[in-house]
Amino acid sequence: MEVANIYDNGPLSLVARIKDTISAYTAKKWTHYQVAFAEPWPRSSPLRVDLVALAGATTIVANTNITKRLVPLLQVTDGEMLCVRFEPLDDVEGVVYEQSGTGRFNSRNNHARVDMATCLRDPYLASTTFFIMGYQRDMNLEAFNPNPIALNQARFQFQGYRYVLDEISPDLTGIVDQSGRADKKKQDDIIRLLAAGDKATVAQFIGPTTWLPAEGR
Amino acid sequence: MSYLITQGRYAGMIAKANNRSGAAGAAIGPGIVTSGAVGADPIHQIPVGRSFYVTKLMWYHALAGTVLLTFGTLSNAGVPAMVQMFPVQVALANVVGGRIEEELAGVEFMLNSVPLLGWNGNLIVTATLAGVIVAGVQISAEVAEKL
Repeated sequence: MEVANIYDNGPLSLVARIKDTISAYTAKKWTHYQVAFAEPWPRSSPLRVDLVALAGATTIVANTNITKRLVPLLQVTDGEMLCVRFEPLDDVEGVVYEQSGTGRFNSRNNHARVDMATCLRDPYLASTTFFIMGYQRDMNLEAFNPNPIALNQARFQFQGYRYVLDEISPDLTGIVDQSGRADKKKQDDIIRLLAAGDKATVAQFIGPTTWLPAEGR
Repeated sequence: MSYLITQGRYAGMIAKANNRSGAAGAAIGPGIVTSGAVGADPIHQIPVGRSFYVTKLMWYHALAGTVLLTFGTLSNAGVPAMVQMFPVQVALANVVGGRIEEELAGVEFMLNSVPLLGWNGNLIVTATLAGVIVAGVQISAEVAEKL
């Protein structure tokens, strides 16, 4: 498998099976993992958050937002990865940040939102897919109310898969120079190429892998 | 209006709880607008960047006489005026009345920001009895917002 078809317009499914290798792009480098465990997160009430309640407010004011805030139900520990999709249950728009400072679904001049109509054109919510990888790399969610009236709730529903990952450290002890000593320069080059996502190097030292955009930071 | 338009392409949303109600939108009620004795009563306000179709209207009153209901939107004139969007509806006393989607013309309520000649696109109603605006007519609207 090469690139996971996570944004295809179909139901969300596993991006890799147990014991498969994934290569995730996060914090501007590729890191390589083996999937140790995976389980679904079915759409259900524990995976629902009301940003009005989370903010300690009574309403989301007309034409105003509830500023971005951490969503506790999506916090994970180190070695865990979430692949989730979401939609608002109320007439508000969701704005996703990977951690609090980097927008998700954005470009230089835009930051796209997920609203109640997203599921009309994209019934499996594929375009809302995002990842959370590890401890202290939490997502932040902001809600905007486009209505000229205040709303009492701003609920968001999540669903997806949870993975447990083991980071792969390739065995480079066989990289030696002509005198049989460890070739540090070549080993460093390999580590740099693995982080850069060089396909030939990854194929040689990591093996077959599934490339994931992950946080895209 | 085609049923498919609202079911297939647009989100059907009942007017939200806490939408404005009553004279000048002063009273807040969950869904039902009760007409006031002064001016037009707002029923549904357009969210930013959207438009909508009306898919159902319901009304009831117990006043002594037949009430005429005029549904429309409010002009951008210096003194905002009713821009009528549907034919006048007759509301008989003590009889529940209404119109469903198939009976309503597919009028799109949309902001027209042209000064004076445009309109704000919000759904409003005036209830008159013998030519006088009357209070106490209950009206509910269901709309399909385009987003």
